[in-house]
Parts: sequence; structure tokens; C-alpha cells
Amino acid sequence: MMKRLKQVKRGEPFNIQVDNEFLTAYHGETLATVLLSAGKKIMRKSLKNKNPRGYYCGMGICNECLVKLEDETRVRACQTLAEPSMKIKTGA
Amino acid sequence: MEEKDFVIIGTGPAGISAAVTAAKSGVDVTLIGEDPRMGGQIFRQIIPPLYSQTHYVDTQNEKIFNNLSEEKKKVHLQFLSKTLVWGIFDDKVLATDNKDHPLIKAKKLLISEGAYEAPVAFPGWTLPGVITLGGTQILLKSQGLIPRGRTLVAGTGPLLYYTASQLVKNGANVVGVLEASSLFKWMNWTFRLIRAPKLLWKGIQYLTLLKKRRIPIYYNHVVAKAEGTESLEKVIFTKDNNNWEPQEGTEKTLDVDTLCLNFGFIPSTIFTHMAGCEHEFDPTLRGWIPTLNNKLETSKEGIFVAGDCNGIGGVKKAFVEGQIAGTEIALQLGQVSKPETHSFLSRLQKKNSRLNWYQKFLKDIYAFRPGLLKLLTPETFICRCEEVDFKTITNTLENGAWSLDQIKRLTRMGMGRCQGRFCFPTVLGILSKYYSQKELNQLDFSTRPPAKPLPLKELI
Ligand SMILES: Cc1cc2nc3c(=O)[nH]c(=O)nc-3n(C[C@H](O)[C@H](O)[C@H](O)COP(=O)(O)OP(=O)(O)OC[C@H]3O[C@@H](n4cnc5c(N)ncnc54)[C@H](O)[C@@H]3O)c2cc1C
Ligand code: FES
Repeated sequence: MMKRLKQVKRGEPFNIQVDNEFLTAYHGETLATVLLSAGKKIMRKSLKNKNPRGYYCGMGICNECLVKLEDETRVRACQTLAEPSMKIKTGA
Repeated sequence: MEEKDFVIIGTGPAGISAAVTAAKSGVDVTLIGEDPRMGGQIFRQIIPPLYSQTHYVDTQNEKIFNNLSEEKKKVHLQFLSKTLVWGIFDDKVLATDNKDHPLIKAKKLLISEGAYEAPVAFPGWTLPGVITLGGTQILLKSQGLIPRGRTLVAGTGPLLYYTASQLVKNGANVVGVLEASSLFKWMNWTFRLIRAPKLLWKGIQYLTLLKKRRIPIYYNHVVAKAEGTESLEKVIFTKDNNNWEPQEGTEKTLDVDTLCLNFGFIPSTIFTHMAGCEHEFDPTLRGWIPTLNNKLETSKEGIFVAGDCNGIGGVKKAFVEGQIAGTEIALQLGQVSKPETHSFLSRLQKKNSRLNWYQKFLKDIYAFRPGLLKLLTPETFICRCEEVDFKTITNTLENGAWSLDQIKRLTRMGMGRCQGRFCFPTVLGILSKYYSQKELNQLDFSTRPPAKPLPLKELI
């Protein structure tokens, strides 16, 4: 859904585990960037109807981009920086 | 509890300029911002170690930012970055998610938390792939990302043309721009920009680029529906009239992967509400504006407001308002004397009123037109978080509820994680049709901490 601009320099890539796959990330990137660059648009499911939701406001207020960390806390993908060895779950 | 002389919430142009102004007079300033770097919406910078030679901040305003950054280096400020303020309690006590500074009591407080995108609900607006134009800009400026695939830009106002041309320049496939207002209206508004030739010139450049790349601009058109199974695939749009009411029988369909929307901005008043300041309801904004005196102090002594959360006025106004608040606070804290600041303050106030025309210009362009409410079908979700649809809201209104709190209690609308930011404006748009300004002013709007939800860890 999104692509990384070539003219922006990114350091050494690392992987983060998203559901059951590994996605490429760079330091300085948010989880939303990693997900959207890999074409993953669905970040959470709505509570009642389990409808897909994803990145919307980008500024940390809509909470549509919530993803689950390994310790089950939910964080906003647009406000959380990707770090090596992170494991996240989407669509929860 | 820590006690601080002057605390500022928000690191946009308003917050930074207040900080620099007060610190220059010797005030001990604590500046709190959620983002890793200062700049706010307009000067949002790339997050290091990502690096870009090109700044995606527009060059005219970059000067203001560079000057501010230079001045900032010369003064001493305490800057708490990546720090979210989640509550204001009695008498200017702030709660933050910063482990080293969980509670801060401020002698003087400036709220400059900015604004957020005005939501417009229509069938399919919750599908992944439908995003705000601000969110699109954030991805470009702070992450170096552009939409892949077919991208449609829609809504109203100058930000559409600015962002569309920025995306096109960076190689995105923009399939069109939908503008809710008419070309005729735009010609009228453009005339007013004679007062700001640089802005006018920029607008012409954006339009020329879009024309050169053969990107169609559909004036008098609105998005009626977004469709897709798991994410956005198609956008159905229609002609509209001057009230932005969709016209039946004029539907067109486009295959679209990303829809970027903007219908203007709504001032964030969560903190001024939490602090118990007085407000006035503005139906054209579908939101509130805090009541301020000419020094930008609210009805609560020692609490000030500057920038977009006091009505959308653009970067220059945010900058000047920050200076006014910073100067007045330095005076109230006894760091400068009245004669010293008197002429400076009145100069700033004059400058600020000279910038009012631009605020009025933006207000006229973005003023909510109720025709948009015709986009709602009974099943359209108005509240995204709690999934409350239009039919539930109309039933509740027909059964006699009219205050926001009543609607909230009966439907759970606005009880979700966005704290009503993306549903209240739609409901207020509906209510504005039924109630007078005076009645709307009396609408109760209560907010409780947290202002933004925290991971559960923080609250335990
Ligand atoms: C999404 C968006 C995109 C925009 N794009 C443009 C543009 O391209 N061109 C243009 O001319 N104008 C644009 N504007 C308008 C422009 O941003 C403003 O006119 C100007 O930047 C206002 O400055 P400000 O300091 O009032 O607020 P902002 O620049 O919005 O700054 C507010 C700051 O407060 C911080 N904040 C908010 N809540 C909290 C909290 N709870 N805890 C800690 N910190 C908090 C935010 O992180 C932010 O840094 C945009 C506005 C928005 C909302
Ligand atoms: S996209 Fe809105 S909070 Fe992340």
C-alpha cells in the first residue's frame, strides 16, 4: 500500500516478526511504516463486528492502527518505533 | 510532585515560539511533546536515523522554522520529548507517561496541542486504505513513504492540491482530485489571496503541475462510498451542489487503492475542556473554541492557549500567538516588567489581528456544509470505535435525547479510544440542524483523562 522513497537513506535493515512472517524494518521507522510497506493494511479488527481497520489519522488519536505486542499490550503502530526482535500480531 | 514555572504542551510552532520567547526573558521553561522531534504538524521532520536531503517542509515556512531552531539553541529549555500528557487535574497538575516526570505541577500552563482532521462519515470510510490527508503527509515527511497504487485525493481546500502535487512529484500515481466546492467559489476565494501573493503563486504552481501531469480535478464532486472486501478497492463519487449535497444519478466509479481525505481541521480542546475552561461552540467548525482574552489567557487563571487549538490560523498565526503567550507569562512570573513589554506586546497583538484575515479565509473554505450529512445511510458508522451507526443515533434523538452526554450514555458513542474526536463532529453537524447557537453552547461536553489511551501498563 505504501512504498519507501529511494532518496531517503535508511541504515542497515533488520527483521521484525509480524504474525507468522518476517518483515524488513529500518531504524527510525514506525510499525505502521513496516506494515504498510509490506502491503499489510489491516492492523486491528473492530470490537463488535470484527471489521478490518488500519492506519487512518497517522497522528496517534484514532487508535485504528492498534497492534498487539508479545506481552499482549496494544500499541499504536503509527506512534511506535520498530525495534529488532519485536514480535507483533495484527488483526486482533 | 515536581513544580515548574512554565509548562507547555505541544511542540508545534505555537509551543516552540512561546518557549523561546519566555526562555529569552529568563523563565524556566518545560516543553512537553509526544513526538521524538519538535516541529508539530507542519514542520514534522524525518525520524533519525532515517535521513533525507530534501525536506518535505515547504520552503517558505522553512525559514520560520530555521530561525526558531537557531533561537532555540541560544536559550535553556527543558524538552521532554516522546512524552504524552494524558491528563490535567486540578490547578494545573499534568500527568504524563514519562517515568521520570509522571506528575508536574505548573505555575503557568500553555496548551498548544494543535488540531486534527475534520471527519466526514460516509459508507465505507472505516475500510483500511481510506486515510486522512494529514496521515498521508506524516508518512511522507517523517518516514519517506508514498502511496503505492492508485491514489485519490478528496475533500476540499488548499491542502488537497499541495499534497497531490507533493505526491506526484515523488512518483505516486494520483488518479484524481475531488474538490467539494465549485470552480466559481474557488475563483472568488483566490481573489482574496491577492493579499498573500506568495501563497497565490504556490497555488498556481501546484495546479500547473497537476495539469501538466494530466491529473483531473473534479470540482463540485464528493466521495459517496468506499468499497472493498478487506480493504479499499473502489471509490464511488458523485456531483454535489453548493451545500455539498450529493446529486443522485451522477455516480462515477474509480478503482482506488488509497483514498486520502481532508475536509479541514478541528481544534483539539480535550485539555481545555479537562481543565474546565470556558468555550464557545462554532457550528462551522463543528467544534469548540476556548474563550480567551487578548493575552490568550483562558477563563482559568494561568492557563493559556495558542495555535491551532484556538481555531485554525496557519503557521504564522501560531508563531505570533506563541510569542504573545510567552511574553505575557514572563510578565506574570515577574521576569520582565510591564513597561519593558508593553510596546512589544501591543505590536504582537496588532500583528496577530492582521493575520485574522487568513484564519477567516480558511474558515470560509472549510466551513461545514450540511449537505454532506446526506451521505449517511442508516448503517453508516458514525462512531468508529464503538461502531454506532446513523440509525442508532437518529433513534436516540427521536426518543428525546439531545445532549452529547445523553447520546453517549444511551449509545456508547464517543466512549471509545478516540474520545469522541472522530464522531462528535458528525453528531454535532446533525444537531446543528435542530438547535440554535445558544442551545449548542449549552451542550455539555465532558472529558475525562486519559486524553489519549495508554497501554494498560501505564495505568497500573
Ligand atoms: C494533520 C495536519 C496536517 C497539516 N498540514 C499542513 C500543511 O501541510 N501545510 C500547512 O500550511 N499547514 C498544515 N497544517 C496546519 C498547521 O499544522 C498549523 O497551522 C500549525 O502547524 C499549527 O501549529 P500548532 O503549534 O498550533 O500545532 P501543531 O503543529 O499541530 O502542534 C501540536 C503539537 O502538540 C503535540 N501534542 C498534542 N497532544 C499532545 C499530548 N497529549 N501530549 C503531548 N504532546 C501533544 C503534538 O504532538 C504536536 O507536536 C496541518 C495540520 C494538521 C493537523
Ligand atoms: S493511525 Fe490513528 S492512531 Fe495510529
